[in-house]
Amino acid sequence: MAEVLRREVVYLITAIITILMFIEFFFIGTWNVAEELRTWATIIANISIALGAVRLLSEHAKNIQRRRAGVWPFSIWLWIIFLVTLLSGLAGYVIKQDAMTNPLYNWLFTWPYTSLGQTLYAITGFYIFSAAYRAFRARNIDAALLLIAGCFVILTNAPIGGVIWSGIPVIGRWFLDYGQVPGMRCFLIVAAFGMLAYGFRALLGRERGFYGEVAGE
Amino acid sequence: MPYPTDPAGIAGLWISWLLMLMIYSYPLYKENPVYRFAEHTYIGLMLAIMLITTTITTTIRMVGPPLMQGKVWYVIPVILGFMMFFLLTPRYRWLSRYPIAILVGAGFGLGMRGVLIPNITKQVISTITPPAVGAGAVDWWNYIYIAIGTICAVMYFVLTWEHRGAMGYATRLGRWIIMIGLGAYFGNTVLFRMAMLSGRAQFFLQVLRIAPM
Repeated sequence: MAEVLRREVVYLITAIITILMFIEFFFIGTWNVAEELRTWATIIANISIALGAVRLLSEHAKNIQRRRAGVWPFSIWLWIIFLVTLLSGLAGYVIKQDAMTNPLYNWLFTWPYTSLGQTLYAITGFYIFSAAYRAFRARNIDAALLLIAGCFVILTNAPIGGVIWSGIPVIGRWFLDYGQVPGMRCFLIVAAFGMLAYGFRALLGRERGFYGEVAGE
Repeated sequence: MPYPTDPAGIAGLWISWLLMLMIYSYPLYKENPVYRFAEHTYIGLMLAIMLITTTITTTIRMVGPPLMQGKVWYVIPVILGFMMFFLLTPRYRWLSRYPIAILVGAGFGLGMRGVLIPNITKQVISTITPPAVGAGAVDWWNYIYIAIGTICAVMYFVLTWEHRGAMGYATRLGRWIIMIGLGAYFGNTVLFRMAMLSGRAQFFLQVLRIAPM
């Protein structure tokens, strides 16, 4: 019985919910039952995000407890900044139902958080050059086509392209408007069929990796 | 955003500037304690902000009003959400499969029905629809290029037939078409990342009042 509860019932729930979503889409239009289930899924997803936070914070707590060389002072700092931000945000939420009304939380969000987010995202700019150098080498026809399309697109969007030769933006626009369309359309179609195949495998209980099961378990 | 005049704003601006330099010490030099400090600052901030904006605020907003209206069954998704924490205990780990089952079911249901029309039907219709009456030679050339290109590119992913003979020629053309698409996509990515980086360089100069804010 326990095995049934651990496996078959779980697969059945997945299949029933997937089928309910299909029924709504193909036969009903908007269905309260499906809408409620989607809301449930959103609530579960929102709460489960905290799981990642708990896991990460417990790892840093272990670092502090074990005094891991070169790491634990940073783990203490992480805990401090986490608690300060969380408590200030909660204070704002409890008092005025909006975390941003707390001046400290607002300051932490507006300055360090936003700046660090933009900086970390932009850090890839340093590596994209070496990636472009490795990708844009005409070793064969495939790589040469990649190089030609990439260079025309870059020079079209950069103002210097039109200065070098007035034809560059014209050709570059063709690559953007038509040249890349079949490739990208192919990816959309193929990925959609992949999604359908993967979904049907999950519906039939043959795809079980996301339940935490490993092969042969 | 204008240059701040209040002390908190000025402090925020300069701290943001310093944190940016600390982060860039990693790609410009190597991993160092200053970088780690900024990295851990970001992680701590992000975790707290994520918990407040997603887990606490959104959940309360989604669950609170229905509960007030007497829809007591809205306690169930909250319980199911907390059942995810059983992932941390090996003995009761299997209980976390129930909320996962709901997430996976809803995700696949929405995902599968969501790709049918926009990703398959509409793409096929767009591919085979010829240009309007009176279209020029360029339009016809683009139409033929896109139609044949899409068919050949999709054929490249057909793995149940060996890519030999006529199929081999078609899939080779398909691979070239894919390369053109990837090249254009990669070119856009390079420019986007460079635009992000130049935005940070601009911020660097703006804080020093070398460039206008």
